[in-house]
This record gives sequence, structure tokens and C-alpha cells, in this order.
Amino acid sequence: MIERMKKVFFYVIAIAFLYGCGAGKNLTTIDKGPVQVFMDLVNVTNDQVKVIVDPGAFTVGQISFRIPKTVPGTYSADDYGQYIEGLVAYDYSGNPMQVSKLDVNTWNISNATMLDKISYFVNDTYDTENEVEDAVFSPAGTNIEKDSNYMLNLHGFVGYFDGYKEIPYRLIIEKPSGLEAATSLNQVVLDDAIENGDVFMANRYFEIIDNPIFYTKPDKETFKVGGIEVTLSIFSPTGAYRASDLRNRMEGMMSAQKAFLGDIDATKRYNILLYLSTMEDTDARGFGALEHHTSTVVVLPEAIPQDRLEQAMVDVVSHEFFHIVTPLSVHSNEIHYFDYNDPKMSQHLWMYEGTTEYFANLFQVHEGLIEEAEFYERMRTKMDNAKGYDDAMSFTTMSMNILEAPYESNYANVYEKGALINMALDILIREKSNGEKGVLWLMKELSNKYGVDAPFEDDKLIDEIVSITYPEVRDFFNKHVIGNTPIDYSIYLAKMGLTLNEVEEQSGYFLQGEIPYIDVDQSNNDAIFVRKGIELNSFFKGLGVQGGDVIKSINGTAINLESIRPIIGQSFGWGPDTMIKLELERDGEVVTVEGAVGTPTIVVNKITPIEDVSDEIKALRNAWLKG
Amino acid sequence: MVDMVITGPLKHNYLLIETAIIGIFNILAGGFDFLTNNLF
Repeated sequence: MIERMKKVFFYVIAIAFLYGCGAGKNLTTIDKGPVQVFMDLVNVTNDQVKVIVDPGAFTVGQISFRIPKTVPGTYSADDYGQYIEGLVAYDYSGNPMQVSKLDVNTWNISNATMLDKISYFVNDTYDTENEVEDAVFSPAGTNIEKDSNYMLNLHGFVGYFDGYKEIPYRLIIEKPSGLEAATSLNQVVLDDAIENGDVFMANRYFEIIDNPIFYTKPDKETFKVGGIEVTLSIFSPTGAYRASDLRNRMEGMMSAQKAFLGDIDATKRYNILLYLSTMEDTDARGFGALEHHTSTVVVLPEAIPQDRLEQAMVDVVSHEFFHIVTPLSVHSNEIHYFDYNDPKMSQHLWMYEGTTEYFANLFQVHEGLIEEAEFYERMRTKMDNAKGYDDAMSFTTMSMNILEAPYESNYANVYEKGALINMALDILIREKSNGEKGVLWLMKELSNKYGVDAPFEDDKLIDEIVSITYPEVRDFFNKHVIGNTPIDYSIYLAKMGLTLNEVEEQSGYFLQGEIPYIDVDQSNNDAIFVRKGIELNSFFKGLGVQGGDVIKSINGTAINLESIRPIIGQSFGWGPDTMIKLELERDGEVVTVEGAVGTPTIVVNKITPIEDVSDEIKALRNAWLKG
Repeated sequence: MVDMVITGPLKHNYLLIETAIIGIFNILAGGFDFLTNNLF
């Protein structure tokens, strides 16, 4: 009976909220009270969730209601308004009002002093990823799977009124029984036994955007990392994985991260929300993660084996967790007061993503999770990957214009050259400080000065960094970050007693490790072609194969995606004298090459320690890699 | 943000994404054709 009364209590709150806003409503102005939002996850029809937004009273003649065009961390224009249907504004008498749609994300309500509430339906993004050209990246997307799971990246569900992003929000969610929320959003306990609804509070709209909520049947593991309570929540569609399967690896990895960070302590709790996809037509396909200040959403395929799932989680979560340093603790006004529909981008992606990615690798060697050689290899790989982007593009200019061509297509370089900028900067500061200071020290200084609630002025940051470091740091920024001069990494590596040399190493015939020399042309019946713009191994070079050549047949077998697989398998058993005949298509002409396959090798750059360096350099290198 | 498809060595290579995500040995075992068919 008591339980029933509690349920009734929640319904009374909800119904009063939904329908009680008529003529008798207390007309608190919008700036005085929270915007109340009701989301109904129970009565889901047509895969849509109904949302009602109830603001306080407006004193202006007209008002615009917006759903974000973009959100922090994605660096892409996704137009979340395209997933909104049936938006209706109601006056205080419950009558529909006239609404003008200004663009895909914006609705204008005239006579706003009469506006009581807005209701609309929300479609999810996972369902349609394969139907649209520019799908929302899954970790930033939304999922509505009735009675199973709901990925509530709230920028897809909750909008804001122009000029009122800095006021509180109260979020009331009616949920199916048996599902539980995983989130870092502040939950308000109205009654500890309410089973059919949750109430959350946000101090401002940013907190709505920054705190996704993941409703699933509970499968959580919670552990302490220093003073941070970390909760891992997962949805595994077939039940193949449980949170407990990943807990130990996550706990070990994040404990090492905390040991690396030391006294940077930006949050008391952190949520990892892991969605595993079936990869069916209507499920998520954007694999990776999106950071938030105190949580991250990770999307990966359920089909991968556990060791690979664990490694993928280490790779992506370590990166996302380091975002508690930047942008959480160190960020500019552009991020703190983010304009979701007309964003002004910061100059400092070299830091937000570059420092984060650098730390995600440095901490592993620092804390003994990987050997020095592995760290060098990762940095060398980033040098190779960075060659795929414009090395002569100013990083600050790219950052400020990252939503537009030609900068947009260079975005992924923030993870490659962005990390290398930080490596070079770290080495420079270590050298000038005799090993005492580095980029981690720098970030702690900036974090202490600014912090979560105090953004810096975007065009003052580099001056600030120079003022607490060395004049040479200004030269470095002017030349390589603001300027467009590529970095000669060998100069910086030499300061640490390292050399960047070309060496010949063993390769596979069709793959170097797990990276293929070949690719598939879907637009040409899954034709197999040799990749362009990469260093080919001695097998291809020796036969005279060129980048761009389409492999029509191998030893008389017609080649496509299906037939190349067993040949790749067989190639692991080939010897140097194995003979091969390739029929190629090059510029419309058929070219035949044949010969012994040989022992495949490839010339690659390697970072290696120089023997007989001074004790001072050894100490400097140790300070850099071991702290 | 980490996008496993566009960052690191992955870029947009069709086979490469398979190998990076599910592992070369699984591909050679031939059990993951659906991945290729569904990923793009």
C-alpha cells in the first residue's frame, strides 16, 4: 500500500506539472526559477520520446527555443533539431500558439508573455545512422529502445530559450520499471522509494548537455580511484559482457592515471557509460567515445573479443578521463559559455585534445604500463599518421575554424600532431628547467589559476604560458602552433638522447602488423586496390606494384573482398621462393607482374636511444618519461 | 572525443577497420563477414 502511495505521489507531481499550468499558474518569471523538463520514457510510441519544457513566465514579446546545432567535444555541426517532431507551444489556457520555425534547430514563439509550455517528440539517432550522409557520432547520439535502454545525450532531447542558458533546470523523467539511471547529473531524492521516476537538477543548461543519462537494467561496478568514485555501467544487448568483466582493467588503468596526475582533483565522481552495439542496421556504428566533465559515453561493437574490448576501453577511456584536466579544469570562455547554435571555437585544440592524447600515452610509460620502446613507437606512429594531414596549417587557425573547410578535414590531426606538439613542448620545458618541469606541471599551474568555474581569455593563454615558462616557449608557439612551420621532431628527440632513423624491418605480405597495404573500393564491386600515398613493402615494390593498382587476379584467382581473405591467410605460410602472378589494372590498362614473393620488409622510421649519451641527458630523459 | 574510425592509424581504410576492431585472426577465421557488410 505504501509503495502504491509513493507511486501515486510521483504521478501527482508529474501530472500537476504536465497539466496544472493553466490560468491558476504562479507566474514566476523565467529568470527566477528552474526550467522544468518532463521526459516520458514509458509511453514510447513510434520510437519517440515525448518531452515537455515548462519555463517561467516571459516578459519579452517573442522568444526563440533552440535545440543545439553542435555540442562541445564533437567539433561538427550535427543539427540535433532535425530529430524533433511535432513541436507545439501552449498558452496558459492550454491553447496551441503560433510557432515559426526559423531553421532546423530554432522555433520562434511570438506573444511569448502568454507561453506556458512547449511539447515535442524526439527521434533517436542510432536508428538512422546508416540512412543519413553525416550521421551523428554515436557517443554523442541518442538511443530510444523501449523498456530496454535509453541513451540520453540530453542535447538531443532538451532545448533552451535564447538568453536563458544560465538558469537552473529541473529534469523529471518517468522511466520503465526495472531500469536505472547511470549519470553524473545531480539527482534529487524526493522519496527514496520512488520506482517510476527520477528527478535531476542542473545549475545551468551546460550541465544538462554535460551530463548524459544512460537508462539500462542495472549492470554497474563502482570503485575508488584516489578520491574519485568511478562507476562503470554497461549495456550488452546479448548479455555477452558484464561490467564486472571490465572492472579490474579499468580500475588498474584509472588508478595509474590518478597516480600520474597527482594532486589535480577536479571531480569527486566519474561515470563511464558503455553502450555495446549489435552493429545491425538500426544500431550504433560510430565507435569511440565523447568526453564530458565528469563522465564519458563509450560506444563499441559487442562482437569484439574480451581482450580487444579491454584494450579499446583502456585506449578511449584513458583519453576521455584526462579531459578532467582540460577542458574541465582549463578552458576558455568559448567553452565555458558555449554557444550551441552559433559556436565560436577556441584556438586551443592543441591543448584540449593534443595535451589529453599526449597524456593518455605518457602516463602509460610513466606508470610502467608500457615500456619506453612502446611509447617511442606510439609517437613515431603519430608522426607517420600526421603526414596524412596538412603539416603547414597553423594549429590555432585550424582550431578557430574547425567547423569549416579546409580545416574540418584536418580535425583528426589534433590526435596526431596535437599530441606531438605537446611532446615537443614537454621536452623543451624539461630541457629549460633541468628536468624539473614539463607539460603536466604546466597544466597543474593553469588548473590552479583557473579551474572548473574560471575560464581564461582565449587570446591570452599563450602569453600566460610563456610568462610562467621560458622565452623559448614563445618562439615555439609562434613558429609551430600559431605559425605554420612543421616541427623537426628529431631536434627535440635529440635533446633526450634519442634519434629518429630509417630502419628496415620485417613486414607481412599484405599487412604491416594489423595495417593493410590494400583497401577495398565499395563503389567498384569490392575491388581490392593497393593503397596510395603510403610506403609499400619490398614484396609490392619488388614486383613493380604501385599505389592505386587494382588487383584483378592472383595466380589466376579473380580477386575481390571475399577471395582476398583466404589468400591473406595463405600468405602467412609463403616462403621467399613462393612464386606469384598478379594481374593489375593501372590507369585503365592491364599490367601483369610475377616473380618470387621474397621476404617482405619495409623501411620505417624508428625512435631509438643514442648510446653513450651523458648522464645529464639520461637524467633528463628519465625525468621526462618517469617523472 | 576519440573516434576509432577516423583517428589513430584507422582513417577510412575498409579492411583496416576490420583488423583494428576485431583482429586479424578473427578475420582470417572468416567469421565476421557481417561486420564488413554492416559497418559501411
